[in-house]
Amino acid sequence: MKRWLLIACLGASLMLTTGARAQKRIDDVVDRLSLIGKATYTSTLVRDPKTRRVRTIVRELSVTSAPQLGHTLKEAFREETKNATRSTQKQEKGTFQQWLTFENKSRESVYRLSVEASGAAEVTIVVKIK
Amino acid sequence: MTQPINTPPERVKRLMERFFDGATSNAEERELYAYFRRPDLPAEWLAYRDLFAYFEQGLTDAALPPVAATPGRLHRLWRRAMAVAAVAVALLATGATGWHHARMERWMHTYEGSYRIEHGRKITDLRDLRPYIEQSLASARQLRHEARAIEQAQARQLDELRQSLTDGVDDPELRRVIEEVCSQP
Repeated sequence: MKRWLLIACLGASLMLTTGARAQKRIDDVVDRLSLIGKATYTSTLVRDPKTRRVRTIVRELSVTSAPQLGHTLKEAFREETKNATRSTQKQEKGTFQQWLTFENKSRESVYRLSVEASGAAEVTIVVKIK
Repeated sequence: MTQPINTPPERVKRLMERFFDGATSNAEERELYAYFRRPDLPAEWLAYRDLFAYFEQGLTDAALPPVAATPGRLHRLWRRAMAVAAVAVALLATGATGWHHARMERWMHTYEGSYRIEHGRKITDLRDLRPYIEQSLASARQLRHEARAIEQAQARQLDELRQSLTDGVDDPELRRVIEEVCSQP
């Protein structure tokens, strides 16, 4: 009985962790790339001026002409596709674009990746906190 | 003889009211001028310093014949009108400054914690960040718009798929299953 209880608890915690980790891979890659010399990164917090509570987070990362970095971002997006509520992608005039949306009880997020043939890449993330 | 340094604030207020009504004596006006000349003028009165300096100049400048020749009543009216206009300008300027300050404060509170990293250099000063924040907000609006468009397109595709799959299906149970499968997640 104790064994089953332990397994159930482990299962539940794994499910919770997986939920919390949705889109974490992309966030981690963006965080790491934001610190490199070839990148510019903006993190905007939009707060409720009265309560100071964060309502929206906008993150923008752009890297110039670094095909390897574009590939890393593509890979992170590909891995998170299975966790996304919606996903779509297109390839047009040498530019690859992918959109992912995530939704849970506390937040709604939209992720967009754009990788040009030159290797320049751009990620835009909007997180709306409910 | 007046002692401007010791003039209590209540008296200054009273004298100013009388001054703007054109009811002050020359001695009282001199007292006001001296008061507003003092270097340690309280901040609340600073806006009036130039105004009283202007009046003092006008009063002491005996080389201005038109003013000297103006009949007393007309002179008082003119002075009162000028005073009202100057106070209105001072109040407007103070109001505009206050409004701008409050607006900036609100802006700072709204975007507090935002930052930018440009080629390894971190910028946290919100005044420097302003154009980037505005650009980010524009990108966010655009991205939300795109996400809505994707959602609508996928809903349309599902709807079309449901239509084509249920076409010609008479079995209500099968129709229900198809519709359920093709319903929005």
